[in-house]
Amino acid sequence: MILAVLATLPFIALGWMLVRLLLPPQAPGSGWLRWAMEISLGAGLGAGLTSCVYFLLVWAKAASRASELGVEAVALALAAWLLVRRKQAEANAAPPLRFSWNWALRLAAVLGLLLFLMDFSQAIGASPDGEWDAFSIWNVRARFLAGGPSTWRYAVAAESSGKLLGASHPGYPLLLSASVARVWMLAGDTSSGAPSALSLLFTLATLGLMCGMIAWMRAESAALLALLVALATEGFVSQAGSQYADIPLSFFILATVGLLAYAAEHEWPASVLALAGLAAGLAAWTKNEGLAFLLVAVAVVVWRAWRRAGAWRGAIDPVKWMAAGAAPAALVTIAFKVWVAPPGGEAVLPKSFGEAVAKLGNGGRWGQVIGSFLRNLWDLGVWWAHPILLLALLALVLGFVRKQEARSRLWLLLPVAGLLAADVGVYLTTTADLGWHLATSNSRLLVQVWPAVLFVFFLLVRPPVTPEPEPVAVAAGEAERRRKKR
Amino acid sequence: MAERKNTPVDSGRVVAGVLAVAVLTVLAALNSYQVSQANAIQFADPYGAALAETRFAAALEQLPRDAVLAYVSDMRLGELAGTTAYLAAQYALAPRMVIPAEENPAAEWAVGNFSKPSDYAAAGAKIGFTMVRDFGSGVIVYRKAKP
Repeated sequence: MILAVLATLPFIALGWMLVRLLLPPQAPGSGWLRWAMEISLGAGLGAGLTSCVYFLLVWAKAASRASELGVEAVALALAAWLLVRRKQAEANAAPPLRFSWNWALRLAAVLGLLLFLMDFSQAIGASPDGEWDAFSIWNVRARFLAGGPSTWRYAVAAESSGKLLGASHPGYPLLLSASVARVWMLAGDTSSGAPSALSLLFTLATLGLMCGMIAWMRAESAALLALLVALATEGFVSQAGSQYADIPLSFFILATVGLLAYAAEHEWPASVLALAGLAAGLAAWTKNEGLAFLLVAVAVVVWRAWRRAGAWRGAIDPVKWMAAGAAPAALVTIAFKVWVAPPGGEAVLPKSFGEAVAKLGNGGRWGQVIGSFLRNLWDLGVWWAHPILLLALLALVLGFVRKQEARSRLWLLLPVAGLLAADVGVYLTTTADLGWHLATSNSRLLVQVWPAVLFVFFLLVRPPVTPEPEPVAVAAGEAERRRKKR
Repeated sequence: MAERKNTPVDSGRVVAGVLAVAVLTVLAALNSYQVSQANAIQFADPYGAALAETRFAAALEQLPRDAVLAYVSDMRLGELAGTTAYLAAQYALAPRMVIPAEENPAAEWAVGNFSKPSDYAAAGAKIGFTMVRDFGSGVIVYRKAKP
């Protein structure tokens, strides 16, 4: 486990430097939240990028501890050199908004995180190799990849897992499996430690990123409340011990939405759009749903940039930078799908247009899908602390931002809605038993989008803030105090 | 960057609501932990993946690291128990690939995964394999019989 944790340090450092290079200097006022955001974002992006490098080395039959560390060392040195050379622009951040009860929220967050870590440790103790999909798909493919030039192709073999429906997915993208295999290769053994360490890392990075980004764009109080609601979402936190790819995907969806939110409010800076693109590209490299998300996110940016500029030409620059950021991971995903994965799509997709239309026209299937979504939404938490109940309570006491402001942020839900619409389409047309398909995957779709939904929610409600005393009043009060002292 | 457009909210109602969320969250996290603890006791290693790693550990040295193994079992692959046992064995034996014997007639090596004692040698012979070693707890290694 210790070696596995050490093996994550190079990609955390690399990702953090990349984030430092590309994010504008304005950062949340509270120091720990700035660090939380930068390190969390860096950890996820670094894991994704190094998984691409590892896969390319494996594909080129050049994967070894020396080659992987060599590439990463060069990238680290280059990033460090650029970071040192970069002219530090003046940080012009507004002073942070204070809330006098932040201490209580921090205390609750620390308790909630400790309980989450104990929960995670119980789950890992009971299932060290993860839940069903972990040992039958993600981790077994990692072992094939880590086996070297003579076995890595088993991870993409059509015969893998006995061609069993629900276990054999040779066409699934490889971000998670390649990340685990990279750690195993560097650590020198294929113990259970690496998948659980990466699962914990991605969960904490998702929570840290959500918290840091909300603090960046709103206030620390709102960020802590978002963290608390996420920790109360049992459906989300219990996924950490499963070692599935859904939490990593939720990380990349959140990172894309969060960075786009910042970009839209700050004249679409090229570097932030490139980071958003990188996150969206890595979503495509994580799961097939991520590919749909990437396409929808790019389409939404085209639309927003066009609306802002009033002409299609105005959309070119933002899309150009986002595409540039997405390119590395998107190209690796395309290369994987075209040249490495076995031909033929997922077994559950309909074989003809007519078959799809017939299934879409079946009203019973619609009812079954909607019912499953509602049931899984209900199962996100216990009824007396259900995350929806907590959000409703906060909306009631805090109130929403002004209509115009809310309207300017609601579009951030479009990539998430687009992804869910694609998921609904897959369910409606699946050739597998619909009940089985929904039971084995529907709850995890909500997990994928939940952090991004929480992020947008906390942009839409007013943060709890303690009014700051007017400077004049302070000066007058200070003068009075001094007079009394004398 | 934090915005200043919205009026600050710090009334008693806000503080009460925010603290209620904080308390409920801690209680919900405690509840999650208790559920997890109960599950850990009741459903330890529910798919047998960790057990398979222990059972197959000794057999790993006998089998080439890059082999495509034939899989022989008394548990039917079409049933949940058989599927789970097969996938757990595949995980334990990776990076070797394991394919059901009937779909992998060219395999040089085979591995047996049995749920109860039986004539293991006969089970292998039926599909053209000779038993190499019985590793106990239903784990058998076979090799293609020489003609």
